[in-house]
Amino acid sequence: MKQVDVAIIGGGPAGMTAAIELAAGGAKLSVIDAYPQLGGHYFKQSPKELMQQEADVTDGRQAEYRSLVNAVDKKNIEILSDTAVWSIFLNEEGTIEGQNNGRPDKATGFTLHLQGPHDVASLQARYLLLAPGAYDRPMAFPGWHLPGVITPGGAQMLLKGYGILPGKRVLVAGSGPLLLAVGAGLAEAGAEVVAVLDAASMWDGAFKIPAVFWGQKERVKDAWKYWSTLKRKQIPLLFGHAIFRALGEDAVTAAVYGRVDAQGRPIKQSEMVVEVDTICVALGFLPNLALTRHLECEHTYNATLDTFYPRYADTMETTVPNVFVAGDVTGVGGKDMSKLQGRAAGLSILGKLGYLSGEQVKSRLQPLQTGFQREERFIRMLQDRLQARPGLFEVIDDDTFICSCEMVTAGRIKAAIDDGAQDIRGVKLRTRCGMGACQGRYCESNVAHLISQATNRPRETVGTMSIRPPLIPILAGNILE
Amino acid sequence: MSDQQNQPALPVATRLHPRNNAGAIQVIINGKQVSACRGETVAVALLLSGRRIFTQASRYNLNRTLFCGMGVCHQCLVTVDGVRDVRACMTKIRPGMKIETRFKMEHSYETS
Repeated sequence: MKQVDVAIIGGGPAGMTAAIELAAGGAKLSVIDAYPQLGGHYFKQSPKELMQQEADVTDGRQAEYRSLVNAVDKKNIEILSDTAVWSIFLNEEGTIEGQNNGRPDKATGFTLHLQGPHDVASLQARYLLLAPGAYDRPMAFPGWHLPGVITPGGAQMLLKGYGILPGKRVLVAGSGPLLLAVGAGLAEAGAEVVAVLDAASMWDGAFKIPAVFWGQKERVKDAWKYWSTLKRKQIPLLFGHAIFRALGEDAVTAAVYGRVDAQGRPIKQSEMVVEVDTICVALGFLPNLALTRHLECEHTYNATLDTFYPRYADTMETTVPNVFVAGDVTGVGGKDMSKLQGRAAGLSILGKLGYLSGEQVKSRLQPLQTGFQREERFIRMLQDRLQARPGLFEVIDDDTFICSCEMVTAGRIKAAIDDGAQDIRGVKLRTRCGMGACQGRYCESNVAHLISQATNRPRETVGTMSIRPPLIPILAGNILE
Repeated sequence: MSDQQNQPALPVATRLHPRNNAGAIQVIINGKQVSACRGETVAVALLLSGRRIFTQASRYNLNRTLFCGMGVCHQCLVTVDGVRDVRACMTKIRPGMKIETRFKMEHSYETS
């Protein structure tokens, strides 16, 4: 079986930066990425076959991406693209042979099982760096299961990755900075964007944190660019607004939206109906916890964002020894935070491998601190804008699907709670909610809220979904191999 | 619902750039040859061929299709070359690939 020092899972900004750092330090590594091209969602790239022309070098983001890719290429880092990890096991003691500071050494390490076009079905690694990123946090409302409702991330993927316009008349709604980018992107590409709705008020977070925009030239420039596109195309950007319902038989034909108060409670009198064929909606992001949960890392609950995150030390190591994390899986940090964390994790692992001394690791981590502080200020502002607004759940009626995999409605979940279910486990046993193909990735946040509201208990006490291998549906034959 | 399987409606999703003919390949969607582009995913090929619905579940006539677009939500599962439950958004098309949408989900435990 193939053996490496480090397996990096996720080839976005965090994974790429870590890979460059590790390879420069002499570590042998593999990067496992689910997509055809490195870059993650931030640098979303087209598959090679679909590239239209040479990348636009005047685009700052493309230039940054090119320099990262060039560095990865130069280091001859093995990239397993289009590949999914469907399980990871802790090896028995002393399974992996390797080098520690030039001396032969045996370690415990991990065995990863992969599914992809490469000839590598499994891989052994002494250290793991998990950089699986985040995905759109679903917002449940009547009609959200209708074809035509997609996530902003999904829309970006179609638009930037495949050159596809997902719809002709589009409503963009939810909360978070991605909405602005998606609204502007769709409009530039020729869609009629009827409005961009953000549940946050315009100034949420902006003035509470001193010097929040200090050193954020790139973010301010991006926001300005998106905002001017919306302005030029006369697309209303409505703060303190949210979607109430999606209408349609087989697919979306219209959306009902209106004003919400600071808690997200819908203000019924402000209701408007607009004809659309597509609705892009999400409430910020959820970290992709499939791997950290599968490996039984400890998680902590962030009440502002209503999300769990893996616990990690300054070295980026989780509570499971030799498992490191970096990037948006640790919070909604964005690209710069991801790169900083990727570097920090890379340096720490080099220290563990013996390629750097403890002193060297310390002195190289030190200069990253200013960056970390700058990003943390910004993240506090983002948290304010993305904070959980319990009132947004008021639009959910008994027929609203909560778990689409197993087709469980809010009404059935309420019935399960009346029947005595006190937590996610209880609801799961009675309704199969969260037991479908997505393993609860897309219903957990909504189910948890419904339970905590109905039982009057804090969110963190009602439990979580458990994710088990295979993490994605695979052929039974692959398990036997 | 109309017979979406045989007569796809006009696609809501559209290509932004003219298709590069050098990359044109044929796939088979529900038994019919459809022209698509190398590098595209099954989900993209389905959307461009006019199918907004990938799967219809028996209960509540719940229609499933591309939702998250990044392999997380598992709503776009289709049958590819006879293999069930393949994520359309994460699977690249190959020449001659047989893609089947709209199998009825059979949930044997459902008695209600």
